[in-house]
This record gives sequence, C-alpha cells and structure tokens, in this order.
Amino acid sequence: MWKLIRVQSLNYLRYLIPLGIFLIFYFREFYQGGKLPVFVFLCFWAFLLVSGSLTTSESYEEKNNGYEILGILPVTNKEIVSSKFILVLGTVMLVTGLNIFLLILRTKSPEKLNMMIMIGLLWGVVCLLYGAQMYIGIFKFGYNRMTKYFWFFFLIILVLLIFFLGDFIFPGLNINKQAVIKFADSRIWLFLVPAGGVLYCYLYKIAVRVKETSEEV
Amino acid sequence: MKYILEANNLRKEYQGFTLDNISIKLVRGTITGLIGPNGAGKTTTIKLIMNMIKKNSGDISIFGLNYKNDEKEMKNRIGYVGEEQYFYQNKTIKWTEKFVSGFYNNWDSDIFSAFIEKFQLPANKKIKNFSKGMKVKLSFAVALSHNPELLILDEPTSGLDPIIRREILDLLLELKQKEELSVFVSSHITDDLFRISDHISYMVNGKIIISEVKDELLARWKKINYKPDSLPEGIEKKLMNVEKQLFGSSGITDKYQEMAGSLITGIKQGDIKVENVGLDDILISLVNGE
Repeated sequence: MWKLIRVQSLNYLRYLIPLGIFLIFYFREFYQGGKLPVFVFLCFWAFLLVSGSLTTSESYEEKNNGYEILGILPVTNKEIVSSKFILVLGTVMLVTGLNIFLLILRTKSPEKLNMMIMIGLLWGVVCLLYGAQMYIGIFKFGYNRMTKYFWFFFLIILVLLIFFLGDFIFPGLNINKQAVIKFADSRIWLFLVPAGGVLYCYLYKIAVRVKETSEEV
Repeated sequence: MKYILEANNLRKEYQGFTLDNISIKLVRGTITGLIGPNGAGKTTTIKLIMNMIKKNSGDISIFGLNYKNDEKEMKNRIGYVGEEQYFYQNKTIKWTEKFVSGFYNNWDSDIFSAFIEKFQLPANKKIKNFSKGMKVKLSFAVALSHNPELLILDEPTSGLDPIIRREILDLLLELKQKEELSVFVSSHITDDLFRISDHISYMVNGKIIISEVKDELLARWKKINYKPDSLPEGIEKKLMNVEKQLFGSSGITDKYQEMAGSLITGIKQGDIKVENVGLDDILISLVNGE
C-alpha cells in the first residue's frame, strides 16, 4: 500500500501552479503578516489545493487507465481506497497544520487566535469530507461523470465560505460576524473536529464497499 | 489439486447480453483456448476470472483460493495480458518495471531484462510512442517476470501483424514446454489456438457450448464430401453447414465416430470423402446452429 501512496503522491504534485501560489502566499504571510483575511484566503486555497490535487491525480489515472493497471496487479480494493484516503488526510493535515503553525507564530491577539484556529481546523474537516465524498463518487460513477459535479460542489463550498467567513474577507458585509465569534468562544466546535474524523472513517468504509461492488475495476 | 482454475456457473448480466452458466476447469500444466466470435462473451469471462468485473452469481477458485479472501496471493501467481495494454503512457519501461515490481512478491528483474532484450524493446523510450506489437510484448514481459503459475490471455494476438503474432505464438509454445505453467487464452483467431492449445472451449452468445480436449474434438468433428444420393439414409439430416452443389455436396458433423461405420461402403467406392476440419469450421457450424 505504501508503494501506492508514494506513486499517487507524485500525481498530487502535478497540481503545480496552485501549489506554487499557495506557497508564495504562505511565505509572504509568514514573513509579513498574520492578518485574518489572508488567513481565510489561505484556508480557501487549502481547499483548492486538496480538491485540485485529487482531481488532477484522478484525471491522470483516468487518462492512463490507472485503475485497470491496478486491477491486474496484486492489490486489493481496500488498499487502493486506503491509499487515496490516507493521501487526502495527509494533504489536509499538512496544509491545515501549516496554516495553524503560521497563525500561532504570527497572531498576537488570543481572541483572534482562537477564532482562526477554529476556522483552520473546521476548514480542514470540510476539505477532508469533500475529498471522501469525491472518492466515493469517483468509485461509484467514474471520474468523468464525477467531474461534471465538481463545480457544483465547488460552488457549495464557496457559498459556505462566504456565508460563514464573508465578514472577515469583506469587512462591512456584516452577515454573521458576531455569531461566528460567539461560536468560536463556545468551544463547541472542538467536538466537530473528532466528529469530522469519525465521519471520515465512516465514509472510508462506504468507499471500500462501493469500490468492491462497483462494476469497473 | 487437479484443477488450477475452476469456475462454476458464472453469470453476468448486462443490458442486452447475459453470460450464462459458464463453467471452466483448467488442468494444471495445460493450455486451454477459448474460441468464440466477437461479442460472444470471451473478454467478459476473462474479466470475471481476473475479478476485474463483478459476477452476478457463481464461484471462481484459482489455486484452490478465492478472491474474497486471497485476492493478493492469487494475483501474485497470475500473469495477465489483456486485449488492451494499459501502461502509464508517459513513462518508460524502466519506470514501469520499478512501479510494477514493487507489487509482486517474486518479481525477477533478470527475467524481465531478458524478455526486454529478446523482444528488442527500448528501455528508455516513452510507452506512448510504442506500437501495438511493442505494447503486447511489454505486457508479456510484465506478465511472465513474476514467475506466474497461471497465464490468462485475452486475445493477445488480436490486431498484430503476422510477424509479431508468430513471435508471440512461439513464445507460448516455448512456455508450453514448462509444464508448471498453465495458460487460459481467448481468441477468435482459431489458427493460433489450433497451434498451441491442449483443450478447446467454444463460446457462442454468452454460453460455453463445447469444452473438450483438442484431439478428441477434432476426431469427433469431420467434414463429409459426398456425391448426390451417396449418403445412407438419415445421415444428411445430421450434417451441419450443408453446401449442395451440382456434382457433390459437403457438410460437417460432430458425430463422425457414430456414423463412420455406415459411411465405409461409400468411402470405398469413392463417393464419400472424409476430411479433417479446422477449429474455424466448427466455430462457423456452432454459430450457424445457434
């Protein structure tokens, strides 16, 4: 399975331009700031990175009939699914970890820090669940059919982002800033992170079942 | 264990096509050829055997193991060459070997290199620039370099020029000498299977109609050429593919051994001639008989 992860992680790195932009902003932020809108932007970019890497990797597999190749080799469906899920988890943990590291290093105000850690972690959970449901869809319907829905999911995420964080990105909008601050203070969100992890494990089990029963290899 | 591969009552339903009640038994150390016209269900059968598609019902046992519990071990011991050759197109043979070898427990780089040299394949050229024949050869190199006990081939010579086809068949004949290797090969090119197979199965419209040792099959099936009114009564009705012409007719039978006695007089008088048939004659008779 580690062989699979290694090969597929190379596919993830094909998504070079967004990765480059993420790193440029990251290091710019690392040396210059600690401002919330940029942080929100980094979160959004983390999503773009996870979803884009996944799509690029699957597009590469589709182009090369990667699943047919794996179907011949001594690899189980469970290992294939595990490698994909571990890779999504790794990518999300990496970008979320980087974002939070940046925050802790740069943010002076404890109130702001608390809220931004919440945003960073919950956004990580969103990315994780997005990756899981994308893979279930790809295993069930195939990559080509799933890409048709990609923009739909992307729009949902964008709407969610603007709804919850619009006030921070565009100060003055005043959608629900107070509610978000209150929610961050309540610490209820701390339960959402492990809950997201549990849901991710559950989606992994579904993905294995879907892959094992899907028509194509 | 007598059979290296045993499939019982396999069923696979598609819209407009059903593979029905397929049973296959492959004796260790033999080559079984699966013959059938295009669309008969040969590739579907092989994909079921490889667990590349899911069956609706039936059982598959290879080396006495089943896919539910032992998929990895089974595929470690199977070599597969499909009708389409799937490789990462932008990669070279070197990269492909590195990638594939990591999955097999008993990959032998020396065997792989020997095949690459034998087939004169360029190790550093991207696979997307390979011809169909080169890809087939590479597939064989990959399929044989982990010392498989069972080789499963789906139309391996389809679309190849006669020279490469001959090379592949020679390779299969060479492998036949190694009695530890069993081969299950599908093709609609009957000449190829005639050369290499010990056992023949015919598949028409999703069903296996005949499954028999090749020599016994060819002893049973004959072509009868006869002058008008020279056949004993009732024999003509038993013939398939009857072609009537002014000075003589011909037909094919799968019951030659039963009718041989009644044909002796006609044969002695020169009114009846018995010829051996080719595997394609049998295929045509079966398809027409369906």
